[in-house]
Amino acid sequence: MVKTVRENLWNQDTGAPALFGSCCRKCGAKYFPARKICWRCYSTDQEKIILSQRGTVYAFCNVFFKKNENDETPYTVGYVLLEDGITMPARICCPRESLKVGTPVVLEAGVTGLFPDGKEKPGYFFKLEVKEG
Amino acid sequence: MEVAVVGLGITRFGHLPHLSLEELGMEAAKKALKDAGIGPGDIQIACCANVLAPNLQNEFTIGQKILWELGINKIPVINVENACSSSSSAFYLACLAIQAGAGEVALVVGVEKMLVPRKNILDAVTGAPEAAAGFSLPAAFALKANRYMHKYGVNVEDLALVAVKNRRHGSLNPFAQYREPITKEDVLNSPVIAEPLTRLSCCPQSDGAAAVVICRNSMAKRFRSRPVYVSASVLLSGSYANPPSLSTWEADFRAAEKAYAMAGVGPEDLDVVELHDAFTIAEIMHYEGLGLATVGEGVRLVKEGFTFLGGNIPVNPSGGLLSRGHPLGATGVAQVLEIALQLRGEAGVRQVKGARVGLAHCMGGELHGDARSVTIHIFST
Repeated sequence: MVKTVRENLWNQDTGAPALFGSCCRKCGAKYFPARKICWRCYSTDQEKIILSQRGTVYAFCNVFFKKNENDETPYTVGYVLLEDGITMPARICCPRESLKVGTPVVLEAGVTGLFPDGKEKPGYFFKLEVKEG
Repeated sequence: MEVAVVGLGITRFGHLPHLSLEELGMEAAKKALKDAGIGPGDIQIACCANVLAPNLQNEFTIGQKILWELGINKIPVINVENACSSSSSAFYLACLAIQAGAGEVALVVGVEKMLVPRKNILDAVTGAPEAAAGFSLPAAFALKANRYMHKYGVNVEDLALVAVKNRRHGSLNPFAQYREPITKEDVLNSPVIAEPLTRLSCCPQSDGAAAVVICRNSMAKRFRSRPVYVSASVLLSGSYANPPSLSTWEADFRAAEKAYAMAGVGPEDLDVVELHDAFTIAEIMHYEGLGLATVGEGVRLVKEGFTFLGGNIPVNPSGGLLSRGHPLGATGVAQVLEIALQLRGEAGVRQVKGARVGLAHCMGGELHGDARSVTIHIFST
């Protein structure tokens, strides 16, 4: 399903999607995408890390207008608050009625839409966390 | 500050296919010179703001193109881009130049032509993860609206009142893009762009230009018009905290504190305000950032009528971005012009009676949930 892997955003080396961010070795601040300089303490000593795949919906909205005719609307975008304590912007693929601020979600990789030329757009998104057992 | 506004010029805002970018800028600049009662040779410094011409018209250094046509040449010309607050940033720069003694008379022009066939809804941040996720500017503000409503128990009907108010004000402004009043039902029933924001909750895209002449305040009375004095000029950028607040713009609070200290006034001293109502939710959040309401209480100002013309503190008497229109590069100067008109007592049917202190607030861009730039200017008679 996923045709390309964008370096530093995610890959499937481990058989599961992963978000690559950075962690400041000096002050511990985490970033997505990875930063070369810490915005908090200005240190350039940054470690590449894999961020948590779980989080909660921090803010979301349903988008109804189409930027190109291949867009399937409505779709949902938002900020997910990762377990690492930082938010990241993301497509959220959940039934609209189950979505609230605070809803637990997990990372997934796949096709998030179509380019104007009809080609599949690979990327990451978050879906509802399914509790086992 | 030692700066006064002495000349005002604005074009009609809207869909103006018969006018080029240069013609729009020239019309506004010519009117501003005429209002000040001066000629092209009197301008010693010029700042020109524009955002999209490099993309949409394949033009750059548009300031020289406009000004040379008017006979304004040889002087320093600075082209400024700072998203929606481009021309208020240009105004800030021109104020600094006058204050620093680099010249005595300056011209600030803001010009934009957005309604061309290539144009689409603006991306929030092209190339960033936000864009990959499908964010756009309306979506970025819809996220804030949802977060704000969740946090403070506000509903969409309250937000819609902002559009109703600004359309009512815009119906009184001959230069406004939209001059038809609308109802709350019109706002709520218009097509959803990004939930909860409907089409009438979002400002339009526009063509238009605005210009002002400023000078060293000690010489302000030599000009034809009644001067309005700049008592504070502030430009700041966001801090990009993570997690972002989304229900406030932290930069608003810092900019307001600095501007009020510089002017020696507080929010309670303001008679009239123009602020950056790109979306209905934005006006509510900016009320709070400017100290007009406490955090979480912003909707009360519009629900109880305080910010309507005739209320205690009318906000966006020009119609704001929602009604006057939003040609990105022209908006900041158009706001300054409205406040100056109000303080001169020349705002006609939308005049705020006895207005003596006014504030113009502009916010430019959206990055990681925060404001890329915020400008605040305070004026007095």
